[in-house]
Amino acid sequence: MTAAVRPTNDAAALEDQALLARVADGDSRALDTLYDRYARVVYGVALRILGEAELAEDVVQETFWRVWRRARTFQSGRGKAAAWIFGIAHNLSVDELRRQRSRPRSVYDTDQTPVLRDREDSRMDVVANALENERGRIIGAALQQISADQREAIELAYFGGLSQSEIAERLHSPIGTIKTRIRLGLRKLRDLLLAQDLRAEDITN
Amino acid sequence: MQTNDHPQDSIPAFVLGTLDIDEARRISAHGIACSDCRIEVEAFQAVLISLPYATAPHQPPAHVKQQLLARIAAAPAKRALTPSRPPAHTIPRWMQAATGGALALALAFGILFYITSSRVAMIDTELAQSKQSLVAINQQMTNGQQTLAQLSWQHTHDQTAIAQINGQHMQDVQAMANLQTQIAQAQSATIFISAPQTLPRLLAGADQRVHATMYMQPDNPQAVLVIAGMARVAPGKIYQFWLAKPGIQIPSVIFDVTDDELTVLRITAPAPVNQFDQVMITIEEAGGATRPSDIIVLRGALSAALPASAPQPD
Repeated sequence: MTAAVRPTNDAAALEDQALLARVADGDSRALDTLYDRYARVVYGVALRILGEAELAEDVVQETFWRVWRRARTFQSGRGKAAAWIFGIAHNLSVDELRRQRSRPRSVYDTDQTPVLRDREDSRMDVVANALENERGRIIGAALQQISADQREAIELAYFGGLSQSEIAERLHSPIGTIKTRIRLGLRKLRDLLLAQDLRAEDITN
Repeated sequence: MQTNDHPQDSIPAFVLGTLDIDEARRISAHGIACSDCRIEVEAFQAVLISLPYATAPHQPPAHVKQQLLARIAAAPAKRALTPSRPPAHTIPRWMQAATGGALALALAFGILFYITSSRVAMIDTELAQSKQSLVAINQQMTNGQQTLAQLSWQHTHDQTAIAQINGQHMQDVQAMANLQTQIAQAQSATIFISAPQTLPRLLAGADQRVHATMYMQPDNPQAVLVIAGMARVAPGKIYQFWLAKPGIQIPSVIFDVTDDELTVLRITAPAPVNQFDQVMITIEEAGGATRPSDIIVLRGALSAALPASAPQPD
């Protein structure tokens, strides 16, 4: 299914690195291609973290602007290009969220549905975004196999931008409990992905 | 769980970025030297970067990409791209030279135009600034003139006030001098009246409301006349004091009374007062007269009181 619409993961990774190299040389068409490839996910993450379309749009633009300006600093040996781009987007989103902490909002505020559990109902563009959805399906399946408490703690940390102590306060739980939930949840996620014979880096490209 | 000081239990939180800054630094420093923990961190990072796919992707609005590309286009070029190839067709050398000359000329004119335009713009700016400065100076001059006019008016006003104060002061000084004179005269009269050899002589007239007493001393040409209840004399007239003895009437001081109802006159006769028989006060024309008129206001006898050069009785 995925091979029919996109190159293999390794080929795609190599292509991303080549695109970043061209971006580093000032080729805006290469950035255009990377944008078309990853802007949907970046926008989805930013929208989920910030909850406001306008702020999420700013994050998308700033993310790819930084890719444009900093492509030369990308080191392929430290990870995939997609991971680098998502890291930029996530940091920007969390920073913006923390700036707006004067009116804190929960990641559940929009629809009272946890972000990660909402994933299975979001397959809207199967044809054009088959690969995205396939990756999402794999991650979603793994997430459904960890406990709700672990998933909630990971969710508040990643999409809520909260520290462990803030999560503990939010959930009225001891901080040690929160640390344990995050640690066990991430380890189980890692084991589940490996059990599917998928390297995590393959998931991201 | 911490094993052999490896912070493995904190690595998931470290990857998620939920640790305190100090603990995150400690793990980061540890990971530099510990390959096991570094592998552990990278394994969790690989899991973490899969999480974006757990959200529902959304297509951002088209204007986001347009703005991004416009921003890139407006930004300074990062570096020169691949050098452009020369055109497939060649241009004759003379045309290249002509074109080069024309380009050089155009460039020269462009530079000249740019320099001239810049110079004109700079001069315009300086001119505008000079005009503003001139307006400001004119305004300052106007303000200064107004201030000067106000100061001049104030100075004139002050001078007038000073003149008035000086005039008042002079009047006060004169009044003070007059008062001092009156006081001196009153003291002198008091001393004369209270002297043991002084004798009073009453003067009387038709108006019973007027009382006058003349104080005199034997063999003394000085005398003091104290008058009470006498009205001010009519305009153009004057009171005049006379000393008389048979066949002789000697004019003395002319005076008018004040509203104080008490008038004290110092009389100096040409001879000791006790050598005269009587005294009187008449109303004369202003300036006085050498002979008394018929309008006698007061009169009194002196001879009966004290004989000339006679010793005063005890």
